[in-house]
Amino acid sequence: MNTVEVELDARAFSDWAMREGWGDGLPCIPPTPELVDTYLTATFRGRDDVLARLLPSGAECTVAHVAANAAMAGAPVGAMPLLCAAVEAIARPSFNLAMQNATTAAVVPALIVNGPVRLDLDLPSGAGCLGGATGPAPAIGRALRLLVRNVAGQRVGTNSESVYGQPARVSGLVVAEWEERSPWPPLAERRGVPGSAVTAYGIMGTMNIVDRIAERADSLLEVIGKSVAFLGATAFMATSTADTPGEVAVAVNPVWATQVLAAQLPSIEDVQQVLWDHAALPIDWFPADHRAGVEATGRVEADGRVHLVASPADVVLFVCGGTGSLHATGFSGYRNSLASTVAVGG
Amino acid sequence: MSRGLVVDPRGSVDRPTTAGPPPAITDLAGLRVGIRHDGTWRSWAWVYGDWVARLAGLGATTHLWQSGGHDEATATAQRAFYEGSDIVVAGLCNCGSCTLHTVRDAVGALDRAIPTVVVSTGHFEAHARRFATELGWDDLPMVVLPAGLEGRPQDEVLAVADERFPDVLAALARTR
Repeated sequence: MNTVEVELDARAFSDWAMREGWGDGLPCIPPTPELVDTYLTATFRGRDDVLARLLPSGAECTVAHVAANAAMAGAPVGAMPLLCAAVEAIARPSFNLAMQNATTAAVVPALIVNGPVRLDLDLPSGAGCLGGATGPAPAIGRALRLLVRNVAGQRVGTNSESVYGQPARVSGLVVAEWEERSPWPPLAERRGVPGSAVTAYGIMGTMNIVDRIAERADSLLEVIGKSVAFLGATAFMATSTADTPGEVAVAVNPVWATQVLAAQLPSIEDVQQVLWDHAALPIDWFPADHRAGVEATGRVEADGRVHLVASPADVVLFVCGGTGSLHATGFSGYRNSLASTVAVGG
Repeated sequence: MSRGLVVDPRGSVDRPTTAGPPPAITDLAGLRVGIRHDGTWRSWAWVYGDWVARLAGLGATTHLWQSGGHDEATATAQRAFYEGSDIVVAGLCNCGSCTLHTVRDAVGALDRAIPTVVVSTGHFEAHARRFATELGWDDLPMVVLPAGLEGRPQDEVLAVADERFPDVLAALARTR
């Protein structure tokens, strides 16, 4: 990688980085060769090891690229293994990074972290875990966003046509599952990757879902399911034969998870089944000029409903959030994109 | 303030060697025209449906290929599409992601020296040209249809198709 001589004063460098297109608008730490080397000591991988080609640019993302962008973002040095795994996760073809970067939509990869690495890095899983809890999550998320900007080439007005974008396109979204308070196996383990792992999932935003009653699992899942199945969700836009609805993710707070859902339903698969069943709209809720497209894809069930996603397995559930309960968070997904889970090694 | 070195965080791309510029086409008789779509845009299906008839009138044969998917079967189908096409007409650039994939598929044809025309609606022309430039084709042959085409009734879309068909022929006839 090349080096450039610049003013190292934080404000001067940040201004320069923004002018050069390296930065995102927030202050940047100068990624001096010495600082980048420090990040490289936190991984067993070689400086020039290629993690993936990132689309749409098609540029190779090396471990050194991760180190330089992590340094600029102010991410903890110890986050290098997580960030390297995250790059591998978002580069999988089924994640469809190219589409996510080029689209008019607001989609951005969120990272859900499982296993010991979330404790090592002090990642948030309790109150304020999606934003507001003090900790390194925003800097780690920003490091991945700078990588997508500087290596994958996603910049507004260049390779991104996102009509609105969203705040997580700057800070990313990094959250840990609160495994110790979950009644179910960790998300990554359920996806076949036990231990320290990261699951990347393309989110269109965060959707707060409140339920002040939440006594019965079925009615709680009805509230959540009907909330995430809104007409403008991109999963419902999958009305051509080329599209797949993708997935929908839901963060359930630990109180609801343990005292309502797991207490009344035998397994997480049952929870996914009931939520999936409620996450549907009657075909006659679709405007008249939209119905033919939906019907052509064969997604209208015998009872006249259209499910948000194809099967209960496409409901991605994980546990996090404060013990004040009352709320869940839905994450509308991106069509033609599937979550991707990768082990966090060294 | 002190000066010092920083590491450039940006990635770089080595562009593949291409087969050279495609030839100009002025006579379509006997040629095989591959039409690329992604199944997303009803308006594009109406447009290329109209053009299929017009191309047949010029003595060309046409075949469709639906882009999409990430598996080996898709890649095999894409290679077969290129191999079976003397000319490629690729559309439709009408959203961010579909523009990216349309241009990538078109550049795949251009890199094989297959005369190719990309079809875009108005707003996404610049997006398409930026992608194409990044992929090494800074003068992408392109036909631009009006923005907002998707919501228009079929008779209006077909009128646009009729009006713009000469632009397809002109783009093919232009040498790079």
